Amino acid sequence: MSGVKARLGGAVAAVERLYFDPVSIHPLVLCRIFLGTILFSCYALYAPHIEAIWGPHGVTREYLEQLSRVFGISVGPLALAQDHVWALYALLLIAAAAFAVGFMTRLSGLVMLLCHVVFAESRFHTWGWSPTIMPFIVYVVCSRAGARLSVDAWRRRRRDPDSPEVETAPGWPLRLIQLHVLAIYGAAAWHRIDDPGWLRGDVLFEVLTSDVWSRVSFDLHGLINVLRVATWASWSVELLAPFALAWRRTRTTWVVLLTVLHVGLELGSELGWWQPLMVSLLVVFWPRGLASRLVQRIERALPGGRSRVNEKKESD
Amino acid sequence: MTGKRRAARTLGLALLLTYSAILVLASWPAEVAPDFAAGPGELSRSFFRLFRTRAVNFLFPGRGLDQKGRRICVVVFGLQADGAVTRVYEPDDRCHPPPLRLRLNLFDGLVRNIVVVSTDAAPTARSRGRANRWISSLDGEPVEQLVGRLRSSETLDPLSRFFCRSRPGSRSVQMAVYHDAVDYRTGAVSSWLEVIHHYDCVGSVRLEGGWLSADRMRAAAPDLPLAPPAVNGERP
Repeated sequence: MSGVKARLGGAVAAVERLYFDPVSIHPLVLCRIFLGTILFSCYALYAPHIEAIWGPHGVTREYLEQLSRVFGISVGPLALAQDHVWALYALLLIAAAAFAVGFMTRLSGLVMLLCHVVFAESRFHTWGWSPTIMPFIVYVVCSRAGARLSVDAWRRRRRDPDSPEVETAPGWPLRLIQLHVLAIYGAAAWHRIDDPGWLRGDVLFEVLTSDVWSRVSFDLHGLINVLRVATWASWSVELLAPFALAWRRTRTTWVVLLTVLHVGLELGSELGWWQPLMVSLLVVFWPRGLASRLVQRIERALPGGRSRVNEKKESD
Repeated sequence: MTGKRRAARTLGLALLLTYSAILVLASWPAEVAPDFAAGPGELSRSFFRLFRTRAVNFLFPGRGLDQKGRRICVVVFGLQADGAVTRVYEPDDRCHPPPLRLRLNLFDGLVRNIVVVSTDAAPTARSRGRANRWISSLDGEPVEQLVGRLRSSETLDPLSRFFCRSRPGSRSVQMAVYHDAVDYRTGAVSSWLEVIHHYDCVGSVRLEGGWLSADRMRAAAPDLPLAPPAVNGERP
């Protein structure tokens, strides 16, 4: 009995360590920059079309109203902001830029998230990345991702040059991101196991010849067998990702394979910002120390960066 | 560690574990998960259906649409170089669709086209033509009912206006439903087109939707995928 109790206590302690022991904040810092950049870029590209899509007489509003009347679907929160769409849009862009550069990081992250929810709920077609990015913003907002490579960190250093540099923080936001990424690969890959299209290996050919998804316009009929092999290979990588990313020995290999997969998909097909999002999130599985080295290198390159200040002090 | 701090930490750990368990359970699709694991995913989908919001559908939205659960079969046909239509993708043998499948989920197609028009600052290879089309069976709704609903819907007006504004110089927009229906029982393919919406860009007046035969439509748009093998031919 006491043995079971001890083992149970050991398991609880291990879980506690997993979630609460300090971990490096550098992967989260990079996630913050990437997520802010993705949302900023996405909405900045909409700029010439804001009126046409979300404006007072834009297609979305009319579409929403028509849908509401014909099909009884709720119009959503955009109706509340329909006359202030430019203000909302500007707020979103400012918040996304502020989040990316780490200015008032938590507040800007929350504002960016709320604005994105309003636009995303307008039923304007976006791919699935649009709702998927939301929880990751929440995780990053909850973390100390604004403590490095940020305007907040620069301001803190100006106020107190001797304040210690933040290197670590409780691990739970990072763990939630990791778990959520594993869950996405599990959800995306394993429901295809009885899908004849995937089993036959037809999907990549279908994607690359579709006028919905494809970026290329070659006659691919001659390559159909090559594309079948590529379909099975990419599906295998995704099927095994939940396990291979969790296991330390295969983690780096799978990060590389998945990154190649997403870059390839981005080059050949158009699925909104899915691929940049997933490549950004894979940062949390990078080999230990890689994110730290990258952050420190960028900090050294920036004028007034902490590392440069330290180096100057040391040389003095 | 003080007692209060310890209690807060225990509570936080419990919340994190619960959330993590929901994530893991919801991520495993019904195809490989035990029945009890379907709860979180089903809850998310119920929320989606009830409140029409996608904000909670954060795990993998493709599953949130639950096409298998709603018995929607999306089948994609491709046009080969010799003009023959080939089935290139079909998702699920266990899906039991109604006897006829209908080409093109019109609303999805239209909305996607709007995205293409509105974001295509530097058009990439958009000249792929109409080789592939969505073919959907819409959850048991008879074809005639769907067409009637679309024809009587004013929803298409703003979409038409948007197309006209996005493409200066356009004279009119015609929206058609592609009825490339495959009868599951006999395998016969029947293919025809019906213009359900005609919108005059110049006058911004909606004209009465008219019926067009496949022959007339082919004369107007000769590159439409209405190759002879697809019309009343055998299922590819």
